[in-house]
Amino acid sequence: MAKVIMTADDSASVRQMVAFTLKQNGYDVIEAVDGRDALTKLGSQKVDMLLTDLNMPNMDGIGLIKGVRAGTLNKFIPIVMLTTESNDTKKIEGKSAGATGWIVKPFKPEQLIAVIKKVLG
Amino acid sequence: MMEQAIATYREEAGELLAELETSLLDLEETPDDNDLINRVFRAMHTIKGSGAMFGFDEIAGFTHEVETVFDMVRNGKMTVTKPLLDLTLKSRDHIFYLLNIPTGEEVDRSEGDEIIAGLRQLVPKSDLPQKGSSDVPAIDLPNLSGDDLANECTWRIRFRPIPSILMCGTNPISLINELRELGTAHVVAQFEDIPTLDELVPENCHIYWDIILTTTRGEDAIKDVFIFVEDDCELKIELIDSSGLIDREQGYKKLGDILVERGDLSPVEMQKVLMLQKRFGELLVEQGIVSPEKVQSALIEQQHVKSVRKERSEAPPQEAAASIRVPAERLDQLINLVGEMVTVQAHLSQVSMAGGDSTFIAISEEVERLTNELRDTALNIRMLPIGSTFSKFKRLVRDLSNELGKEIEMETFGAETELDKTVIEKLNDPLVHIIRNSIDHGIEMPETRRAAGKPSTGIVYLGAEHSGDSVLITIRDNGAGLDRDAIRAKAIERGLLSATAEVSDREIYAQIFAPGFSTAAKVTSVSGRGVGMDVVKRGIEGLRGSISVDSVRGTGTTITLKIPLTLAIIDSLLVKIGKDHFVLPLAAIEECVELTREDIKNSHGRNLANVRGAIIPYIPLRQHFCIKDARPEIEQIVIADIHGTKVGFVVDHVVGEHQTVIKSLGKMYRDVKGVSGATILGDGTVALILDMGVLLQSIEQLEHSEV
Amino acid sequence: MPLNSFVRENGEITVTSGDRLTIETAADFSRVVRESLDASHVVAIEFEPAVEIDITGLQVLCSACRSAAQTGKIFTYHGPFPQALANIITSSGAERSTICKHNNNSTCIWFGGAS
Repeated sequence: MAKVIMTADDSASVRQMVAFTLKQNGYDVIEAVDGRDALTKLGSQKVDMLLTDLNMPNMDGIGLIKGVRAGTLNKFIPIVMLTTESNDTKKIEGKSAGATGWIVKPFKPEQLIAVIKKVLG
Repeated sequence: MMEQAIATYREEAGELLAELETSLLDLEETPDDNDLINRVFRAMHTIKGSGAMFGFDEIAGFTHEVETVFDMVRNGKMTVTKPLLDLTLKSRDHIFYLLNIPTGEEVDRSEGDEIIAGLRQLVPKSDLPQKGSSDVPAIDLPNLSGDDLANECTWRIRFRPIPSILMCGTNPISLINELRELGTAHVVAQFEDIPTLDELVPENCHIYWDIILTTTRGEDAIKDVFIFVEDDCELKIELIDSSGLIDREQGYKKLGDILVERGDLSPVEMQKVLMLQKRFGELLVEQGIVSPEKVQSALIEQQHVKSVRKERSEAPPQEAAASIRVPAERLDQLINLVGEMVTVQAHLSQVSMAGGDSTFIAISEEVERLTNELRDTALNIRMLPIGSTFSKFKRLVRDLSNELGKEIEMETFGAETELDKTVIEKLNDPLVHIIRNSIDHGIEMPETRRAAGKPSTGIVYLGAEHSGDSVLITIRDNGAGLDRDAIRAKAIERGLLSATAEVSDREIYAQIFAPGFSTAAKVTSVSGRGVGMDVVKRGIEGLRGSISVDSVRGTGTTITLKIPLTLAIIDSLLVKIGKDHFVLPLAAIEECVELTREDIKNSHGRNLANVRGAIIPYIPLRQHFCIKDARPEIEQIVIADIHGTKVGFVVDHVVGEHQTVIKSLGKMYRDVKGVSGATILGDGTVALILDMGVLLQSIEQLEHSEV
Repeated sequence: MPLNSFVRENGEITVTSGDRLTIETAADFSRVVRESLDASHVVAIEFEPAVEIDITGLQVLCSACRSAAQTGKIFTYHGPFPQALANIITSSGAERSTICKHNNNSTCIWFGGAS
């Protein structure tokens, strides 16, 4: 059974690229346009992993990660944050909120897949 | 797909820019509205981030500057002012320009540079970011490429995640599987910290891991596996074995030492347990000092490294780490020293035997054994595969056959055959001569070959193989073969053969080695001047080797070189005539028989001995070397096989086998026939090394001339 | 059958695994087994053949084995050993060929190597 990955990003182009890459590699994809949208969808649907942007309107990535970890259905899923910052501050903030790992934008499709494989096993 | 995403990005950025414009204009009305400031920042951020994803580097770079300024506004380090808003609106226009620039068109940066300069002036001096600090967002990712080609190393990894690690979605098993992909891994999960159900926090990780990993990837590759959890675990990575280690012993550390290194056992406890003289691991467990799991884990490490080391020692030497380069002269020096050693050892043996002290004899025998091993090892070091020379000849064949308009291919065999380095070097010229001859005289022109029903392409075959203590090198062609009658005629014409003599094919073919011998009607650029085969023969004999020819008219010619494996030290038979010692190379010697006065009388003046019914000619060396002392009652015949001919050499006594370090005689004696060198005996006297093949020849020639 | 427990006629309690013994169900699984061991001398797990197991599931099994050994009770399983459990024992390096002091120095019926 194909694993389900949610991609949360307010940028349609990034969502499009991520969704395409994931589908090509055999994953099912659910898209969310911001943190709130993602958290709502995760409340009712079990997924295997979450890829989230950090800067989003209507609840940013950090808020989303905290929300997921405080929830029930997807409480323990791996969460990878997409960050434009190569510095550690955001990573540390995200990690302490409960993120599993990160990938720094810009990234290539194969780098995305490598990180997903690393986290999903 | 990418084009589609790029189109989406253009659309999206257009929308964001519109939103940016509205927000900026609203901000002019209410400069303190944090919500608006955040919206501006976010729009910039998305334009930058996604721009970088889809190759809009100009946009990403420029927007980054503007975003940086707005980040300060967001953090209260700057206030919104009219000049800031003006410049930001200009930025918006510039981004719009950059976004819609047709591909391939030159980018006009002047506007952008002006805006950035203006923005920087607004920033308080102390807050100016260091130039170039974060111009282009770096890709920060685990190193995904095959990065290093280091030695194969074995690492001991202890991975102890913090208890809450599972709650952040980390699966330790995927990390362990990632390690497994780096090489060969043995993984032991340690369960000792798992409490009973009353105390178990089910979502916590109570397990830690010991991993022994053998990999060619470096430590960084191992660390990369743990990049996301480096702050969420205790990680210890220790190098415990490396293929580059000089220490190539096959064994590995004792169990106790491993446990002490791991910190699972204190040295004091180890000593205590060692005193008890029982299987160490069992004792540790019995005494409750170390848990069975930890002992098992350490045993696995021991096993792992032992098997890695064993594999390494059994693997063919191929890696750079398995061989070293040494200057040739240093090797020659080593061989010389070993030669001296062999000589001294012979002396030692002699003295010890004479003394009769059994302890001394035992030591001397031990030295002899070690010297022999040392000799073999030292000689082995100089052995090289002959293949490197072979490839040179392929080129030679190609070039020469082109020059002569012939179609010739070369096949080789036994390129891995090893020979002494010096021998290989000295073989080069003779081989060139022989191969040239094969190409020029042997292989016919393509049309001639076709007319004879042969494939138009001729083949020169070059092969090497071991044969006892020699290497046989075969050069064979499938050409015309030697013209027996022409050679015979030429030999008679030059007085090398008598017209009436009954001679075998072999003897006729051997004439081609006579100096200046050539049957070629015309001299080609390649060969035919009659300079060649005699030089070849001398070259081979200089290597204490021999050469023979075989040929079938119309089918081809085979030349076989028999070359001793090494030049430096040989096994030989030490003999004595009168007071003088001589050395005969042992390789060709078959047996020794007695020669009594009676036997001599019975053979009626002919130097023939009857050995178990076979009549064998012999050469009385005493006469040959003009030794005047009285003949002993019973002499010895040393019977040797020289190119298939059995010949005896008569000496006074056979002393015994002897390791002979060959010394050259120097220029003065270079042309002395029948003596190929000299050696120094244990007591310091010199013995000549006899070249039995040449001796036989010179006697034969002598007899011919007498006839 | 979902994660649950029932008492057999001989007093033994059987715990059915349900579809997954993972971090999501670890708390429930741990609680059900603990309560069963409190209530009965013999507790056996009955695995769904296709049960999903992660290391939290593994930890509960090990922890329950210790708890049972400490109180002289029996913790075992009925029916076939599920493939997922065998797999995770191998992949996590959990195989044991030595005795376990937490199991009264007996060999481990769970991690004695993948079957």
